[in-house]
Amino acid sequence: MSTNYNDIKKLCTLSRLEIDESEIQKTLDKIKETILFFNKLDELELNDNEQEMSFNDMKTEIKIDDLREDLKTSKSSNVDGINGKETSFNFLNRKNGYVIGPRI
Amino acid sequence: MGELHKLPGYQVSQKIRNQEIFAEEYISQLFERIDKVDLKINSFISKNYESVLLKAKQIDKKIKNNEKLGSLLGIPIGIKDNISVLGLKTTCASRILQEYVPPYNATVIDRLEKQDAIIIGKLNMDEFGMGTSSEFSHYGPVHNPWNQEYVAGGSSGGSAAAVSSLQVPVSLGSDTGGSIRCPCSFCSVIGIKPTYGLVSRYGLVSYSNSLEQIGPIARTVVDIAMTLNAICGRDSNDNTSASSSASAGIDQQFEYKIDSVDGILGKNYKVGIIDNLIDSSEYQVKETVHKKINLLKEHDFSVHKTKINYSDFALAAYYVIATAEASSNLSRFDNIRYGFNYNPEGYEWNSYSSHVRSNFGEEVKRRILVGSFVLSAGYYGKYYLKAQKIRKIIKNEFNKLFKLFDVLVLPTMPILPFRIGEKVAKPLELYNLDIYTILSNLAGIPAMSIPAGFSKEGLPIGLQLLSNEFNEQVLIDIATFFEHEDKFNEWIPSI
Amino acid sequence: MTQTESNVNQLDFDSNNNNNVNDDVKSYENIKIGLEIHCQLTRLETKLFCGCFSNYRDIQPNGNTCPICLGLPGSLPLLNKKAVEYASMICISLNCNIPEKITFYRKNYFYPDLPKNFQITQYNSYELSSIGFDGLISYYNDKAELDNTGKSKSKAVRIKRIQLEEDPGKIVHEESNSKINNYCLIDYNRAGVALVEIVTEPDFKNATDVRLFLNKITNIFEYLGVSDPNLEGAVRCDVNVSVKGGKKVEIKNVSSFKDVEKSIFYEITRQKTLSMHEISVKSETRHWDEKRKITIPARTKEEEDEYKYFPEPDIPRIVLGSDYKVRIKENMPELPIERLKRYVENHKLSNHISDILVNNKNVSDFYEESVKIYNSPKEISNWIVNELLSKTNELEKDESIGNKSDKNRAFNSQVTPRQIADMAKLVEGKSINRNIAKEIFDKSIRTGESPLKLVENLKVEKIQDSEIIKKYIDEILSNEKHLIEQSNNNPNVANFILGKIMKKTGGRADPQLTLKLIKESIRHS
Repeated sequence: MSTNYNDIKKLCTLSRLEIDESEIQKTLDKIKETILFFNKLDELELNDNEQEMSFNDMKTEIKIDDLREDLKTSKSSNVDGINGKETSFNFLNRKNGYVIGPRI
Repeated sequence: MGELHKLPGYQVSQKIRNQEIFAEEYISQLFERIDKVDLKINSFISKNYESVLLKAKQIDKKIKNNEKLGSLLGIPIGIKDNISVLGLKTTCASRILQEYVPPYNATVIDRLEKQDAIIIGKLNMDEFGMGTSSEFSHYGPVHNPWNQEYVAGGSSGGSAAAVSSLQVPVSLGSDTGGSIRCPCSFCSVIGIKPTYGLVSRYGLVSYSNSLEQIGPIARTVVDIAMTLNAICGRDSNDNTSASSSASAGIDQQFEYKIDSVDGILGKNYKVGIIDNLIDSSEYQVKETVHKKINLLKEHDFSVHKTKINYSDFALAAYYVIATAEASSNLSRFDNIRYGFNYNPEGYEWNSYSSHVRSNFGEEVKRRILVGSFVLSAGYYGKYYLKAQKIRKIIKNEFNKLFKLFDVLVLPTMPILPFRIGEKVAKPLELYNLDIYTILSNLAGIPAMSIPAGFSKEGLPIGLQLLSNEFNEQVLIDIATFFEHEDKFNEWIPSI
Repeated sequence: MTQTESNVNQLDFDSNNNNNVNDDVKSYENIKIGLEIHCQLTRLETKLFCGCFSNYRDIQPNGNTCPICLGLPGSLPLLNKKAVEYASMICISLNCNIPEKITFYRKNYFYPDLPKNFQITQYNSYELSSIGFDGLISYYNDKAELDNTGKSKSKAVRIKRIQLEEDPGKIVHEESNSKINNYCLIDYNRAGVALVEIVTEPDFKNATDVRLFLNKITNIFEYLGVSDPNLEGAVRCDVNVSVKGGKKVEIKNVSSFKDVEKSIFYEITRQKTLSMHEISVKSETRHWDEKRKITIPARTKEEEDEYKYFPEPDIPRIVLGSDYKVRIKENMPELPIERLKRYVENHKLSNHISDILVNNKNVSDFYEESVKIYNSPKEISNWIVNELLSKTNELEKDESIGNKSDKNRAFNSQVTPRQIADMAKLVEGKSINRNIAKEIFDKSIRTGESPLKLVENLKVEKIQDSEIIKKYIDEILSNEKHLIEQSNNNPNVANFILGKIMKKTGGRADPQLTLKLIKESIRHS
């Protein structure tokens, strides 16, 4: 994989992470190292049987009948976790009940 | 100062129950111990003193009134700071959550409190569980009680160190790739990563959801079994808990027992020695592990050499999956709904998010970037998909082995504990330390680390035991055997 | 034969260019339109992954939230069993296949209305994970024309996939004097509500067909009882348009079905114009500007194409089992197409009338209730279709869904099924004339009075008593003796006398009987 400065910048945008210009090269080097290490996976050739495996066999399975029933939870105010406490979740910044976010 | 802090949990519980000691008195002594010792160890992020005292008083009252008493009566338990406790800050050792207080309890907390345990405080860790040394914490590194210049291991370093330094008898940690077992090995205590799905993850701040489990840490096997009994079992709040139909059976009730040594010997367990992995460990580790194996042979356990294939692919597969899932799990931290005080007014959405998220530690940032890369469209088949297939291959390997053996033995860590600061700048070196522990996370099988001995320099070495899924009883039995032989519950640091 | 084929074989369909004379599409324009419909499962009690209420509309901001739908650290999604059932019913009604196992995926992107900054959804690019795939549904064209074999012509659209996913929260902008908004306000009450996304292949050729299809599909939602399309925001629609084999443009943010039609017209024109000037159409996402009624290039959010899809680790693969589809089908409510069949075969109504009745569940339910009271399907359907509906303009489905509820209320509150049944009984029992009945009915709708009462009060029963009629006849004949003579030469005299009597009796005299008696009287005089 050819990771370069622009690729890192793109990854940072995709992940919404700000990295100081002074740190970018260092980060780039460490990440490159890790991804090169991942290329070890290429050495493993899967035989036909393993290729065919449905995607995610380690995934747990659950029967449709064991899913949650469509019943309202009995709490009066939904956000508290115990015994009908009246306080709702303590959001950081609020205005008239709304959560304040940056402009979009 | 009294000596009550030296007591294992189950003895504390007995004495309180019998009214030999009062919960309030015991807790106060523990506070003294913590205040004295933790300056050197730095295992606590936050303590719960007021409500703890209240709880202790309530317990004393309960006993007086002959009320029904829980199995963990009066036992103080430290909680790794990525497990949600209602009303207590849950920071995951990160600046980005430094003011987050959950409005709900993790299921394990509810279950502990139901058994009258006392939640004493939140314990230090590697930020968001990402690390093998507990150095990557916003609150400073955790120091090894056996030698404070050395790391306590990670990521549940605070949980292991607090137990090891007799600040609490029992703690909870979480294990994604060895995060319970590594610090237990480095701090000479017992820890277990249960079978995937045995313990509810509801309330555990996710790092890598398909790999991690919450598990107990203690100095004696009895405490491990008691705590595991209290927290395990299917949870309707976690659809990945104990619903695996094939192995678990339908809503099987799990209860782990402490057997006598004779009883254990009578079970004729077949022990497999994972030779190819033992061989790759440091000399003193190898030596110590061989001593333990000899102990087994001396007691007529059936012991045979074996090996596990594909382990060299396992480490890459593990980090692909862990970073991928982490990159998504940590997306929610944009400081809008919770986090730390930083008014968003006037900021534009994308730059605000990127800016607040720069408060992640370096290691966390790196893993998020790697994880994003691995999941991006062109690379999905090459990395993530392949890594998941490797999990299945490794599970199959273990299935083959468990047809021949009841338990597998290998070191917990390939090296001795290292100095604080020694490996911080070398992430890949740190990743390689996980090589023995990640196997059981990938396969979903349970794994336990028990104290095995010490290096010449007095640094702890741990022995790792693996069994097939939902077969924790085997691990408990083998651990009981070793505890009886070695009395490792009496190995206490001089701090 | 597959399920799909057998279901549709009953009707002629032509998903390629068809010969409908009213189609103004010329084949060389090669217009392709596809839809992405989001239907909220408003009839669930709770959200898709937690126990908060599914109907958030009257709750104060952020009052309908919990750790799960807020995505608090450590929270885990709990899939709603009934949501899967409802989604399956939709799949069956659109003739989709349902797999034996389904999986959920994460779609990762950052936005303030998304509490976890990923959406739990389904995704078929790596494996077949969604609840429905490869469906086919037909819909009639407006005039329900017949082809030369007498079968009605219909069109069909292929359903690419149907998936379950969660709704994000809502972003609210404050009305303020300053032009620049310094911040946004977020309400998470809607976050986590269950959505069924239906994606069609680009088989539509014009905006009218799209509207027909949307009407049909919302009708299905009502019949299934999975969603109430009248609720604000319950059914949303994105449109893809391409012209002359060019790039596909996606239009988002269309809030009403009327606007869907308008946006398609606008976009087709825009793309045709570009191609006329030999400018190639950019493949992009555009935003429907409601006020100016145009499409404009969208902001960056919708342009993001790197979603880092991977299977949701917190939700196991759901095993539906091989008999799941059968189980659901057995317990499903009656579909519009089934009801239509019942009306035609059992009630012996015409296709046309049946279609009108079935097209609106309220109307159809009303009709059935009325028939229950008085079993005369033809007469009752006649009253409903020709009198009631035309008067309340119920057939206007082009209006934005929000308005529909007003019309339904108007439809329901003024007249009851019993009243229609009564009218039918009166007319069929020949107690009143049809013309008078229509007048009575008009009054009834306007004033809300019961037709029976009106009939009583206005004394509009038919006069069928021969004695009374004879009295009228005798009166006229005695006053205008010349009429008797004229009747020998002129057969119309009898009708003339009939007219006079109808006038005198205010139209109540039974015409046939009166005529008969007139003729008798003349003969005997």
